[in-house]
Amino acid sequence: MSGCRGEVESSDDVPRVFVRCIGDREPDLVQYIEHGIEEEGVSWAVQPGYDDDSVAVAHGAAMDSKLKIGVGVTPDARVIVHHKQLPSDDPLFDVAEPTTEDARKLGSNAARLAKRMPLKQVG
Amino acid sequence: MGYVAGVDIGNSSTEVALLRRSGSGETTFVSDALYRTTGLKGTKKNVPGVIKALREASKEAGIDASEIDRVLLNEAAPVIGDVAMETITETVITESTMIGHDPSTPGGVGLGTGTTTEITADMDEYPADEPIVFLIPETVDFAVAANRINEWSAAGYEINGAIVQRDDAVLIDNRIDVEIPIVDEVGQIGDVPRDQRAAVEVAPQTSGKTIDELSNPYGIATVFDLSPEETQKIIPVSRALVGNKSAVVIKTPEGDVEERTIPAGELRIVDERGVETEVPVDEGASRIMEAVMDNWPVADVRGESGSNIGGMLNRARDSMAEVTGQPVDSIEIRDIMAVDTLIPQEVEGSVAGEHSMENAVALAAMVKTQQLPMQQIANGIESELGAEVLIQGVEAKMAVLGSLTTPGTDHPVAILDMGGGSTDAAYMDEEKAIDSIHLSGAGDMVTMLIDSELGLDDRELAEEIKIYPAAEVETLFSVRQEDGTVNFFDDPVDPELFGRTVLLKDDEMRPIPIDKSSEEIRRVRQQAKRRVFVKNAERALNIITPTENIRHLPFVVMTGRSSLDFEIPEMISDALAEYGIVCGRANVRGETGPRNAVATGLVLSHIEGGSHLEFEIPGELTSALERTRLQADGQ
Repeated sequence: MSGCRGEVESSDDVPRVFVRCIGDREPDLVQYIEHGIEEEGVSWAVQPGYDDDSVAVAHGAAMDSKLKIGVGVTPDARVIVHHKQLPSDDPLFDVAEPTTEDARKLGSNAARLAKRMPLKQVG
Repeated sequence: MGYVAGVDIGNSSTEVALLRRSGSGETTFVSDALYRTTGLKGTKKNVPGVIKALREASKEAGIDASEIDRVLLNEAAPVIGDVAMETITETVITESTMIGHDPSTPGGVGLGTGTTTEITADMDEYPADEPIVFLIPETVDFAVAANRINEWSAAGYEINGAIVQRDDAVLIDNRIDVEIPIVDEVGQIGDVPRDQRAAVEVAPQTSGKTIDELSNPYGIATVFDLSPEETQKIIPVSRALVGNKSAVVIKTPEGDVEERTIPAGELRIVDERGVETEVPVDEGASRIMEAVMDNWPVADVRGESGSNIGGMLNRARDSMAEVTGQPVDSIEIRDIMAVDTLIPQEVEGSVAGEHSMENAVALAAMVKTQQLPMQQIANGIESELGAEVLIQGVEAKMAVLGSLTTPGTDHPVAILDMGGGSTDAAYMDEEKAIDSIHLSGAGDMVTMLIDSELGLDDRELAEEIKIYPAAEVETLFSVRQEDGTVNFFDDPVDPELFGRTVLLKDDEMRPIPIDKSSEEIRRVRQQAKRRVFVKNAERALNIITPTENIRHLPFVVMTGRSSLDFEIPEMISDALAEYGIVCGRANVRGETGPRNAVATGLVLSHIEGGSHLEFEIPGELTSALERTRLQADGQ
């Protein structure tokens, strides 16, 4: 299990959850999302610099992810958790300004989708 | 042209069979209906339910209820069933000596022992030669905790394990330089004793293995250098940790683990001659059932006052006294059924909500008395509908007549009527004489067993687990049933169902809030049904057959609410197949399945069979037991 930042190397075979940030900055709450994913033992990659509607970015991340799971984070702290097989406009979670606890739970849930475990209650 | 209705008032449902008699004497069953029984069976409160059911049957036949000339009531069996559980062992752990809640993401691997120390402790106060197990409360951030562990380690201290309050074990493990076992999600970390010797064990996560040292009494003995006497005392702890992926055991000076036997008292079984046999409840179900069958037929059963079982037996007696208006002392318990079971009980003194499986005895009791006041009900129906009401026949006998309309059956025949509160059996011999018995132990007992063995504390959920198959929501679009088949959906499932074990109800999936796979749910469910219904089927049929040999029964027909269950009839047919018996679910009149046997039987009895039965019904089964005033006065 590993985490990384930025573009994933072409030689990287590891199935990862892609966490994509809209804008160049990484909002503070991204680290809490990462903690949630890391504690579940699933690999991930944080990729800033995206520019589009947040739900579309999250779905795009899910499409690119070998685990079929993507997370979108906006500069105003909105977190979207999406899955490749869901309709692109209907993500699994869409939470505006989650607390750090909830951000961590959203990360956990992104990982648990891959682990086929029950999801944590958010909010 | 006239209409006759048979009405069967059961414990939970009231059923109607409606017959039309044409001018030429031809009879046809035109409809049937079912409504829940209002009030306790055998009381005037049943009347609204009966009227409702009659109206429904009339509507279905296209007539008004006032067109019914005669209503035939059953002489309801005066039995009430009740269930209770008595735990006979309990595990009490003092001084929080064990942590065994098995969190989903522990960290590190291996077995480590050391002295429990706060992560915020001052290094100067601790000698470097004592190995340490750190306690990390939620107030300490995981990154800070990881740093401290590295600092102490770099300073020469032997850090052998960590106990963490938050769900942070993996986060910490990924940031430290030492390889140690870490157990997290310890809610009550404040209750963990400080400065005591502790052992932490985490099994290798990807190996599928469980811990093997702390789940072994000799492993604990090795770690703490225990004497043989101390090792015996620690057995409940090691037993509670078997199958865990992680655990902690802390040795405290006064720390003690006790497995106590709770005095559950005795049962006194009284036979027909008044001879009493005492059986201590904690000797278990087989002893109790042996005593019951040895003393058959049982005249009464008494429990010790103050015990759960004693209380239940008294409650059942009180209930029946209220219904019949008879004195409590004249009420007798005619049968009990005992089943051994294990139930998860929270360990007293546990630190993270641990449970251990305790021995318990589940008991069902059946209370019987002389006669239920059916006349009051008959009068009530007569005054509402204006029809003549007859109490046509005894439930069991009417059930046999109704069951014989099942295609492929013939007498001699035995019927098994499996309901919620009791399992009843009746046997009609070659001469068409009918004998019947009522046994305790039926649907309600199965529900109680499921409720307690899964630790649900929710009877309603247990009832649903009993009647619906389980499945696991594997992906957002698919569900795997307990038999392995997978179903796909076009729309994604509700996020709250994802990853959960659910019940496949008719139009929805209900999540089961406990952490068990569908196979485990199935195992508990089937075992409960087997231990109650298969056992009682054998018990009932053994008692009812004249030669007391089941093999001589040619036909066995199953009726009643519990024979509608998706598994129970097959389990019983399977078990009886080895005796060479033809056993199956009834199909009354070739159309209503196991329902409506009594209601149909009542009508058949009244019309003396008509063309619906292949044989002549004996006289004693065709004359009504009682009539309402309406008939007697000739109005």
